Amino acid sequence: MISSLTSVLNSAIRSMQTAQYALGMHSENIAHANDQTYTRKTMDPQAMTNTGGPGVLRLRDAFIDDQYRLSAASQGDAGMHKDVMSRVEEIFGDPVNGGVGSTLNQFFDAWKGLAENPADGVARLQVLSAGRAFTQQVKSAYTQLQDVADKVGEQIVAKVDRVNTDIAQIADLNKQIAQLSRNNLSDGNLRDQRDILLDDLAKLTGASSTEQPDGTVRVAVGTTPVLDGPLQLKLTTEDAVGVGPTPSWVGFVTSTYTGGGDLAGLVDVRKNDVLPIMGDIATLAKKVAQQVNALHGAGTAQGAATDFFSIGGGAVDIEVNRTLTADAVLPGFDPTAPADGERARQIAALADSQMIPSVLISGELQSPKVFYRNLIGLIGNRAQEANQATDIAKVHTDSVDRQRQSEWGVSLDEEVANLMVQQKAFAAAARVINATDQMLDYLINRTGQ
Amino acid sequence: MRITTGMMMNAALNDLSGLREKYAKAQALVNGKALERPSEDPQRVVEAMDLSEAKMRLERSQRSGEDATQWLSASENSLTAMIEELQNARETAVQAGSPTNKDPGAQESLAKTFLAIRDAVVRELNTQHRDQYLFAGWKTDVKPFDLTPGDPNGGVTYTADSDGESTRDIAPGLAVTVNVPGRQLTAKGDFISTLSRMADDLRNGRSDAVTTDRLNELSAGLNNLIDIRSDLGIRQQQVAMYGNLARDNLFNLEQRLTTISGGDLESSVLQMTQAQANYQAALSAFSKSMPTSLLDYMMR
Repeated sequence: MISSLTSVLNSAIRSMQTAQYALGMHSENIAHANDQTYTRKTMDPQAMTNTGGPGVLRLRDAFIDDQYRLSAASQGDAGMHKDVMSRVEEIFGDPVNGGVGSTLNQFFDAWKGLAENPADGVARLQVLSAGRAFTQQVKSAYTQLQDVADKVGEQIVAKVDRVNTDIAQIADLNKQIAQLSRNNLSDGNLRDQRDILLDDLAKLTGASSTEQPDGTVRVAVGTTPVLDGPLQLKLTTEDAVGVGPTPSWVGFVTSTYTGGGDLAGLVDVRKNDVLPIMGDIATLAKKVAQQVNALHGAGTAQGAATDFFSIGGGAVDIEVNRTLTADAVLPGFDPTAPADGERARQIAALADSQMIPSVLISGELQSPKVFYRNLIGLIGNRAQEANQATDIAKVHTDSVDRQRQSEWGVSLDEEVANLMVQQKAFAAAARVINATDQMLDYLINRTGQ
Repeated sequence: MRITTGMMMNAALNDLSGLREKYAKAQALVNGKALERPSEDPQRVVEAMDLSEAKMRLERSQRSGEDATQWLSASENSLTAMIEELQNARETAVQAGSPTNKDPGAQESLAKTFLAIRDAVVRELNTQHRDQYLFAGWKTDVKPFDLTPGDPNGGVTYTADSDGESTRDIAPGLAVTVNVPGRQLTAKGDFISTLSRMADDLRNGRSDAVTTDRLNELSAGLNNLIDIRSDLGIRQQQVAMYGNLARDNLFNLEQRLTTISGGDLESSVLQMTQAQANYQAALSAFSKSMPTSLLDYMMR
């Protein structure tokens, strides 16, 4: 069948329109070249929109997205551990030259100094000031740890807020996308927006999503479905005593938060690291204070002495007895013998006395210095673990993200080349119109003359 | 793999920040701050904590050692003085037996000599070191020896009434007694009483007793003092030996500490220079490759 010149003209016009449309599409791609969340579009020659325009393909791959969100969730979890643990580490400062450990050593060293020079008034003052430095360090470390735990709570509240906003926005976008796809209209930018929110939600909670035939997504966090058709859950925080705000779901049979991501990381690091470390510091201080008081306290059998430490009810309610003067510090058991340093010697020996249950080996008692050293080792290991986990998760996320970028990121070179192609197509179609015009000219004006 | 403009940018930025991080770490190493955080190397941090605690103990025992030396040599000096005085007394006692000293005037002058020696020795027994009585056990604020009033034999009473031994830890776990409780000095013969009785004997014409029994008593007391002094000498040697050991140990500890916390300057500087070179190379590569695209060649 020979097509008429009119149809040639028509297809040339269609071709010009397509080229023009494609030009627009490429320019949109170029405009978003630096937007990492943008999904590039290409022409889909197979599909036609119902307005008769050319089809556009949104190059997105749900599988890679799932992979990305999975590793984003573990990066979120590990990242929170890393952030919190690095603050915990800061509290303990330079572990070798400062902090609780060195004041503890100095405290026992001062007692030793007193044991060897019991008659020396300055040695007594040193014992008092070393005791004050120790309790002060313990308190400051404890308060700062408490502060970290509180900040974790605040972050949990803030992140719960963001989760709710994300879910609400996704639900909103679901509706709009469903409507557009019913009308067979282009919904690419809305989907981009929804994907950004899903990425964010995955980092926050480890949420996974499945797309439905109508274009909407179902979202689940852990084992809890949070967005499914008309179902939409809300996350709140419950204040657990002695722990702080903990996320929980409203509007579902089980309220327990089973997700991952940032929130799980924060909850976990607070429960398994920050709070236990606080407990350990308090145990260390209390035990040392009690043992010193057992030798230098009102209740001691040999030679009554004033309590060296005042121990209160709080976790680190310990300070050097305010009423204790240098005179009342008794280095020996015999008050009439100024060179008797036996009591001070026994207190100095507490440094090596196994009195505190180990943080590492259950059922083993350790001396204060070994206990503290192990605690620092434990903190170091946990922080190192978190750093490594974050690094690994980041490498993984980066590599999946590279894959995503590779699939649907904008390459300027490619777009420029495509622009040229479309430009040439446009010019060629124009040539066709020109040629057809001339042919029609021949046909209409020159025939039959 | 399809490489997009954004990917290249990201990769370059990631690489740059990684290199910057390495550079910063190498710099911290040069400054000897490799172990600012436990997580940087938990095992080494724990070791460093151990070492610095051991260092503190060694420094304490060094101080104790110096203190011990002072006490020991003060005691030794005092003992030496006593021993010399008593040897002097022994010679005087031998003289008392010689016929040339038989007349009462000579006897009286010898008796006075004995009493003078006695007083000098008592003074030595009450020697103080830094305001503390050396031979008073733990009751260093009590003058330990007093001539017993009304005692016909003129002995001394140990009024400090304490056998407390002051010790110093000259090495972790090794204590040395630095004082001599006064009772030990007169344990094998109260030489003060002997000296009093010698004077008494001479004045009452019993010069035979002076050269026999009294002389034996005096020698027993003197020998005891000499024994104690040689014991003090041994302790002093011990203190000096452990002082040297502690110094060596301290030196080793400090060396290990600096090694752990990044004190190996040559290798740290090398690492830093390397990191810096890498960073600069990456920067220049980045600045050359990034600005070009197809746009520069086509759409003109």
